[in-house]
Amino acid sequence: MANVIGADLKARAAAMFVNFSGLLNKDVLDAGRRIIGKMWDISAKMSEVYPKSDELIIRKGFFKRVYASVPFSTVSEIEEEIVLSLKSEDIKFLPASKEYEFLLRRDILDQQVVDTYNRKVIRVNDIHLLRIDHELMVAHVDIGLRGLVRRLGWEKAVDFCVRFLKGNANYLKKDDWVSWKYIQPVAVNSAGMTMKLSVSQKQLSSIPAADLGEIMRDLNFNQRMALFMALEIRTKAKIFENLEFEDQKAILEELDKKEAAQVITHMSSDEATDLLGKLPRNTVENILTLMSSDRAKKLSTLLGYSSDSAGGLMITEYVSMSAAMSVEAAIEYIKNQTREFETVPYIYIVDATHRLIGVTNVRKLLFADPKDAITNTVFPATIYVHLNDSVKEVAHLMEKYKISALPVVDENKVLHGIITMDDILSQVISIAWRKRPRKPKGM
Amino acid sequence: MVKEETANKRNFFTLLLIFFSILGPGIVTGSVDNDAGGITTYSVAGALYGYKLLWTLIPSLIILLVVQEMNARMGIVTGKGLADLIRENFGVKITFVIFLGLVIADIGNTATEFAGVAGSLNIFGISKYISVPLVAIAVWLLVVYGNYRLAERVFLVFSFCLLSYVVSAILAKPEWHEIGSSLLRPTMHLNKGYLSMVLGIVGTTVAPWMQFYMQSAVIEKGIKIEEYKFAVWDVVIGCVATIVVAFFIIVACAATLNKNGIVINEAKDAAVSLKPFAGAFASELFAFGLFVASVFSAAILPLATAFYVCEAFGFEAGINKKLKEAPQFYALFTSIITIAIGIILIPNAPLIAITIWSQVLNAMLLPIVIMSMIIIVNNKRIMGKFVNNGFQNIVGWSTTIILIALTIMLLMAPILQRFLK
Repeated sequence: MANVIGADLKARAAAMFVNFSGLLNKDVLDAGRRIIGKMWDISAKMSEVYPKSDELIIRKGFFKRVYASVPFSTVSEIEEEIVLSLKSEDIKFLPASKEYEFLLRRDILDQQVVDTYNRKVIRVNDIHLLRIDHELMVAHVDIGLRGLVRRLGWEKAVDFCVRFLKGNANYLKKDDWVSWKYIQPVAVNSAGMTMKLSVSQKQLSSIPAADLGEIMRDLNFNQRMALFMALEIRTKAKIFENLEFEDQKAILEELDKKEAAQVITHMSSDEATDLLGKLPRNTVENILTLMSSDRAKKLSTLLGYSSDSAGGLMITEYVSMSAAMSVEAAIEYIKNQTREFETVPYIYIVDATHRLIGVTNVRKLLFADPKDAITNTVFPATIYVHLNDSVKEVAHLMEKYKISALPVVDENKVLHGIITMDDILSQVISIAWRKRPRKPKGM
Repeated sequence: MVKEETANKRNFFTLLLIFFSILGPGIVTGSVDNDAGGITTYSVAGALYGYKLLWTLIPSLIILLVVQEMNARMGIVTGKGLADLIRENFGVKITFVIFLGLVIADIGNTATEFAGVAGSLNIFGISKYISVPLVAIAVWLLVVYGNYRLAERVFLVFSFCLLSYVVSAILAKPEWHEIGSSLLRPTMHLNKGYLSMVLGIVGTTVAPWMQFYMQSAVIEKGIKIEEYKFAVWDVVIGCVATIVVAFFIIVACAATLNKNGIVINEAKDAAVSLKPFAGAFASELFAFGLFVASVFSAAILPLATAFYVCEAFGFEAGINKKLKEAPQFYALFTSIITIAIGIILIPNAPLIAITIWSQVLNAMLLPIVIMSMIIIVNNKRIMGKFVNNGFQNIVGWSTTIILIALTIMLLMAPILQRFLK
């Protein structure tokens, strides 16, 4: 009994869904049931989460192809044929179809899209459309083998064979459908080289930059560029940090200088220095002049250090305060100044000439008497490295003292920046993995 | 004094750098092109028909140039592989037909590569039952676990060994005036052997899978549209080099084997038979070139084929992916190699027939691939202002028509012969 109801529900659900590939090249009839052409494409409005059918595009002729488009509301029947409520006299065929922003066949079917849920680039084998009254809504894309087999027209035969071999095969039960809300089309508008972001842009920005960088590697250059341009500046900068230099350079060449400067401004200073250090001198100067003078000054100082020395590795985002402060004032200062910081591992206490006196941390400050001077909260020993110390020495010190960030000073003990465990880790990993082949793009 | 030396050194290195940066996709594709199958086809053509078939290299060169230029342009403009473009523009059915043909032809081609390995190592006294499985395992390990890109570069340097055929040919003392007249006065015979040889030469020189390979290589190199002119030069150099090598292989075999009425079945036979006429050195050079070309293509062909199939049908692919992440890719790659060596290891396998017929299959597939390319490359939406010009379309379409005509003639040859008698 339950089975029958289940089957009935399934049948009804199936009737509600239409495979887009099944509609392609179907005969289109007018109100008088005369064939006027074949269904070619459907344009959709992207304004909602699930795009809705807008116009139906009909094609006829073989050597001289002509196209006509009719509002989808005039479609009265979608069964074996597509029947319109229009008279054929009212349908005008033109040699080229109108310019559309978003077409299902052109932009989705057989194309690559980004699956923001599984975070990878996929190819669409079919589109599942949900029937609601006289409209069709894009519900899923089919990325499975079965969709491919259906397109070849062998669904029944292959199903039969598989059932014969293994009745409970995954192939029969599992459909590889991805809900449209996770789909980001990457069809690039050839005129403006821009990409139409779906409403799921939110989904896109929820992907960690490292994964988004991986996804971008699977796209071709135009798609990559268009996707990149569509993102907001912070995400851009983060993605940039995760790209290989070759890819960074290729994107930089396409950006205008102002945009490039903006992206680099939002990168962390060590990554930005790394990148600038590999670019030609006049490009660097160009970019630096377009940045805020503070940022430009910092970056150009950092650029002066060799890339595998403490000076080249350090970042300039750290908290330092004068020795004269009280604990209370220090906590207040941290609250106000470090909103942008991911973490505040240590606080560096410096004198009037920015010479390093001691190191403390938030925990020590919180447990100290608010009226006390911060100099009384410092760690007993101040561990630091010099600008020219090597990566090895820095890593060694960090491991020895179990410190997650080390201050970097010059010969006069003036504080210039800090090196965090993260920066060292990426260096050590890149040394350890140097022999690993880079992912080739073509293959 | 010292200063001058460093200046010289720098000059030398800049030249070397420029030289290697010019070494682009076209040249790589060109060297992959002269694989074991190619060498076999050219040798057999030379041994069987002498200089008669040399003329086929001229149309082959033109087709090769036009087709690869289109590939380069499509790769540069779209940034997409040919498999991608075919799937995106023609849908599943046509893609399926093309790739079914491509896989079958490439299994045959890979078998030919392993036949080349077996043959060339046989000259050094190693049995094919040892050499073929060993090379297959080495190739498999190299692709799955090794650094394939580095290997590709090493092979590329080795592929300069193909120039050894020029030496082999000159050592064979060919009759240059006969070569000239056969180039200027093409002959056509309506028998099955001759026709399949013509198709075979065109099919091996302009193999369909190379169009896919070429386009990926262009994309990987990241060539921009401003550098298009250099890309064209790269294509020209690659194509001319390919044809020159082919020319000298035919000449070497025609001058020695054909003159003395020796019939050969494999490229290896050519190497062996060269010995009495052109000396041991020429023979060894020939065998060495064959070995390098065979191993190189035995690695690239199955890999490329598996990659394009997965690209077109949306399976995970790529040698950086683990076995579990890209099961279809590795399954396809492994089965192409396995079936290919299976064919080779069958005792008394008809190697020569496999070689020639996989080249003929190539030639039959070629018009379909070229047609798809011309349709895509003329699509303004995809190519913008870089669509084909009239000349390119004329050459493209006439190539397609001639190849179709040749294929039909080949299939109808038995009937035609009877009819003409």
